[in-house]
Amino acid sequence: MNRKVIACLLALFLTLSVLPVLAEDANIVRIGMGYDPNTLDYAEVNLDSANFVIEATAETLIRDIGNDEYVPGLAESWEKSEDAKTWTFHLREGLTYQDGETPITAEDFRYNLMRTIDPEAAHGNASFFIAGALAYYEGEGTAEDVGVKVIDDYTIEYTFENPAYESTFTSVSLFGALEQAYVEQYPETWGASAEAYLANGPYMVKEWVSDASVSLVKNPAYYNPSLATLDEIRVIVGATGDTGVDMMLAGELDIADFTKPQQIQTLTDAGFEVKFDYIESYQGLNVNHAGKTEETGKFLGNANFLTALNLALNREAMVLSVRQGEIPANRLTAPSEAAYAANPDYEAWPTAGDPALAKEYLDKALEELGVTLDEVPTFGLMCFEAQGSIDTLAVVQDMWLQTLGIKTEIEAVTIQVMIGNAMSGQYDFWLGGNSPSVPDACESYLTGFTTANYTPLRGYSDPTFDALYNKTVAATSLEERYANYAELEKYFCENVLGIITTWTVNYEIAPANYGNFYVTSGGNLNVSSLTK
Amino acid sequence: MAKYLLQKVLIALATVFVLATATFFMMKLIPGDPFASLTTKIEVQERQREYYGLDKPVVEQYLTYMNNLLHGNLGYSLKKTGRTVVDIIREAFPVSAKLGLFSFIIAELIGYLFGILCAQFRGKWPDYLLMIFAVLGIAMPSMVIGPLLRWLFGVVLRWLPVTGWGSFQQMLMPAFVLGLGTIAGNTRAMRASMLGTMTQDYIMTAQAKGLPKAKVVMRHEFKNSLVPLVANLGPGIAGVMMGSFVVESMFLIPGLGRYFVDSITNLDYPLIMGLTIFYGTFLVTLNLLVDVLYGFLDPRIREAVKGAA
Repeated sequence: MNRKVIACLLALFLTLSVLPVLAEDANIVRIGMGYDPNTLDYAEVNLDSANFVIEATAETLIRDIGNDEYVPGLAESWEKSEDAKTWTFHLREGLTYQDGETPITAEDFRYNLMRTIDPEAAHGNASFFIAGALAYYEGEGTAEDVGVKVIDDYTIEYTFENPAYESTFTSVSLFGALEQAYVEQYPETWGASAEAYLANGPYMVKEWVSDASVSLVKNPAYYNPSLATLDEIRVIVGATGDTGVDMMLAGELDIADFTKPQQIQTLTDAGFEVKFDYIESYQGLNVNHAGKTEETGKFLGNANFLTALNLALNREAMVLSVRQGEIPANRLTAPSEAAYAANPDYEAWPTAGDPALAKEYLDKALEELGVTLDEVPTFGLMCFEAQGSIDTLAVVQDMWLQTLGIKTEIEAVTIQVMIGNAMSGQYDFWLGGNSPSVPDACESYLTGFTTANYTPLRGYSDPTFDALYNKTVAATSLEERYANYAELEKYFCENVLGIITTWTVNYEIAPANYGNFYVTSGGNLNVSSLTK
Repeated sequence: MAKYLLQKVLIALATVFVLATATFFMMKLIPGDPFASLTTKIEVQERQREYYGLDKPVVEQYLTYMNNLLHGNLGYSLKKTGRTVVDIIREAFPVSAKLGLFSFIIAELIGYLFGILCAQFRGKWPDYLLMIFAVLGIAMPSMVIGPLLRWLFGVVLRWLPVTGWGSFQQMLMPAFVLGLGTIAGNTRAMRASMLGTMTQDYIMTAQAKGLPKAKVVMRHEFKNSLVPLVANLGPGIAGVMMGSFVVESMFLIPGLGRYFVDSITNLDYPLIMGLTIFYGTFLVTLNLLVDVLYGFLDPRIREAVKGAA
């Protein structure tokens, strides 16, 4: 009897085991993402996976189709003032949300913007490009003073503090459309589930299993059905790295991005292709120009000292040893950015370093500061407590010690402590990345170096930098902006405001027959019109 | 018996209260700020702290939290915007519990079976072989064995799905990896307990009566060897049902395990508190049940309780 039971159990197990993994429908694409979107609330969204879902399900006034090209989205046309600070958009008429009934009107855009910058709601994506927005947020201005005006049901006008560009209007947090009545049905939970989300893009969220998957299907109410070529897009949460590789090899995943050369090699050997790559971040050492202490600040405020440290780094060796798959940086602006194309020949430092020149700069710095090498203090190198970060700092530590005799101490801390220390200026150097932005780094990274945004974060305040920054953001055309930006970038690099070491690259990998998908200029993957 | 149970319930409630209080204040000692961000404007970060009441004195925050807790409100997650802690636990716990229970059953059955075999074949090759397996099971971490199994059965042989959740096939590998340590531990514990039982007089009596070997083993040796192992059932079940960060991440299972780690990394205070209270309550409840179960398994305990009453 016992033997029969065991035999039956074994037979059942083997039968279940050899069943093939369910074959997927040919018109479904499965995308691997690192994290659950957490929220699709436009005012809060901040993860790549959420941006991917929003890219497919929510359209803004202008569509970003990659390579710095922009085409009409929900707006069919627009005009701007001579100073590029006032933009008027004419919406397509007859548009509805995914329910096919609720019309999209200019008021929906105004509501979305005002909701994002509502001071009572404390939304994470509140930002203040729009005229009067900051004053409103800080209680010094009224809602009426904010630079957004509904002209009629299909016309809306925005006024900015500085000139704006087409790329400005692809931000869903500020320029998406939200139906107030629908949002107010979910006062605390808007954007936290498929039900509590009403959008207007080529696809719509059919199902969202938290921390597992998000399924998107065609939106029948979308005005241009030809843009949606897939029956379903399925986001699989956590399908990255080695897990992603195994899933792709086993036929459970179609597209994912990878950074490690070994993983990419395994997949290309198995017949997958690298469809494109893009720079994800500038990596390097953030410098506290005021120093963690007065003693270190004396040195970190000296441009020659920082130049010596910068030239002592052999970035090519770093990539070969501890930053595999990354590109050694020779300037701030990464090759994938439009501002790079406008000034492609600029090289701020040799990627292999220049030890002899580094020593010359160190001597100059010591002379200016009136100290000897023995009097140089030990500097702190702070990083997140991950092995890769610690290894990177160990290489930096060694290069500075061997080339210049400068001593450092590595301090590995938790991510929240690292951010807290950085924000309060409790560091000398801190290893971290900064994402590129559109149209250039003035939209995010470089803002932190201006006196207007002076915080202990960078410990930096310099009228010359401020003037160059303000001149750049005041440009009324992209051509003028890039020209001004080139000057600003040169100033940044020559004065070593930050030590940029590498650019991290994401490689998007998919089956060989997949095509017609891209990364937007803003860095979001778009597979809406994918063909295979 | 009712008085005994009431006493146990009151102790359990006091335990949860102390746990919640201690966790709250220890959590506040963790350095860092949940809203500190390099990309969010300073003005916005200040508003966020104010919105979630983190600008108030810690004691005031504690009293507010405990008041909400008494009303069954564990609050909203700070990082999963728009989702309550209760929602998160409600969705993720059944997944972890299902996987954990399946894994636990496998681990108990295999572990006890191996332990019995080891004891019966003491000093012979089956004993050595199974003990080697037990040592390896304890020594090999799931982050090593998991990817190896995933690659072998998912990629090379294609017998099982590499990842995912929902089907029986998808449960097999993670359940085995999750239960491997328990199988190994149970094998060793059952072997030791059984070897002790086998030398008892009543076993010799049973053998002398001429009972078949199988009956002696299962009815007398196994049943009596089980009593010392029951004490570990409560924490064991609670442990596996609460999920595993490593196994769930490796096999993409949307369970509770990852939240235990992520909530602390992100300083998601309401989630840290909610998970701790939930885990604590679950653990003391299971221990209470085990205490009752003990009474059924061991007549001496039943008599002691009656005597005390």
